[in-house]
Amino acid sequence: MQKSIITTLIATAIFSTAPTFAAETTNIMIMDSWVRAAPPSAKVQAAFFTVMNHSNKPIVITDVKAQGFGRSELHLSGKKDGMMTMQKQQQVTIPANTVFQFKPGSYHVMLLEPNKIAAPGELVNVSFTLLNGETISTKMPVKRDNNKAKMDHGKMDHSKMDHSNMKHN
Amino acid sequence: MKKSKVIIAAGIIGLSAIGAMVANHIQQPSLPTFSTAYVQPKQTALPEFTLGDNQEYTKALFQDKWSLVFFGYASCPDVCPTELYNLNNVAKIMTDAGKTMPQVVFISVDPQRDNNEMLTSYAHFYNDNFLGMTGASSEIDKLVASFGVIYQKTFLATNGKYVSVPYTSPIPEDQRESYLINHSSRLYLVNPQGQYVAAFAPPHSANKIAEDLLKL
Repeated sequence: MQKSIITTLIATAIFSTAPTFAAETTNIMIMDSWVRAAPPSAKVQAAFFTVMNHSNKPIVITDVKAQGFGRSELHLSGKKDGMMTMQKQQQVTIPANTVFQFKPGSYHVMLLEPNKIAAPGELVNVSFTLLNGETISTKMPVKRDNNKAKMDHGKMDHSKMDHSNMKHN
Repeated sequence: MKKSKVIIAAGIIGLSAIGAMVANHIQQPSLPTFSTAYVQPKQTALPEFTLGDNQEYTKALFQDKWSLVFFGYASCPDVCPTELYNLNNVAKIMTDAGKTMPQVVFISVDPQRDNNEMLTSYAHFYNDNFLGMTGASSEIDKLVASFGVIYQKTFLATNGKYVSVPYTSPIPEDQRESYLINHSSRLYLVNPQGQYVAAFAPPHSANKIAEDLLKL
């Protein structure tokens, strides 16, 4: 277990930018964060990041706030009845000793009621509230995409994919 | 005399056969063998429809060019932007290969909150050539029916549970700006004859989509 964490840490260190935040008391790191650029006419934006829980206990995120946005919510994209769905999450639990990704098509922070849509190059200050009452803040750069050599999953073996959600609607 | 009649008859039969073949080809143009796109068992001619503020978007939109159609809404923070960024990557691959990218048509199923001017600038943010449009729900639904799209309004009820209702159903007043929409996220391929011929099911990979489009 310990070994795999170290491997993950090394891997993460290699593949991502420096951590944007490490909490003083809770052993948590938020890294590789970004707010996806959106058209000026858009009404919402989304924030994505990686959370590393280095502790032996789950960490629960209960709330999120972002500067420049009237409301921010924890969300999860999913599939239901052949449709893409989105649901607000009251809280998100990061299991002990895990690297947990908030990424497109999955968990993300939905930023609503913008004073003005955040433009590429700007930084958005995002604060998370944890179940233990702690607040952690991080500045997230606005980007068109997460400029990393992204793996294209097109070559993934989909033979084991669960197609039960596939409906020829 | 007899011989010439036979020749004429044979000629007429031959020409009719060629004519039938050509007509048939126009009716049912053949498709390449796709790697990931699901070919429709029957190519579906799209219905008459009018979208846009001045009814400028009609069936003619799909004539003489390949098109990719995606249904969504502008208040969609994750799925639609992911798709539009992805389609811009497809366009890059196509351009690099010296091929024409099909016209991308983003149709908002949320005319209560989205308008055409906003959807045009919305689509252009991702790619100057992308089209964004909406219209009356009754017109959108004609296309929705042809493509087999499903969509519904969804909002958080006071009991903390999501409630999903048909788009035009009334919803609580405090939810009128903040509802979400569940929607199909397939990408539909329309041929230059204006027929719906194939669909890409999610998850979408730019490389996989481009691989099929390069065969057109």
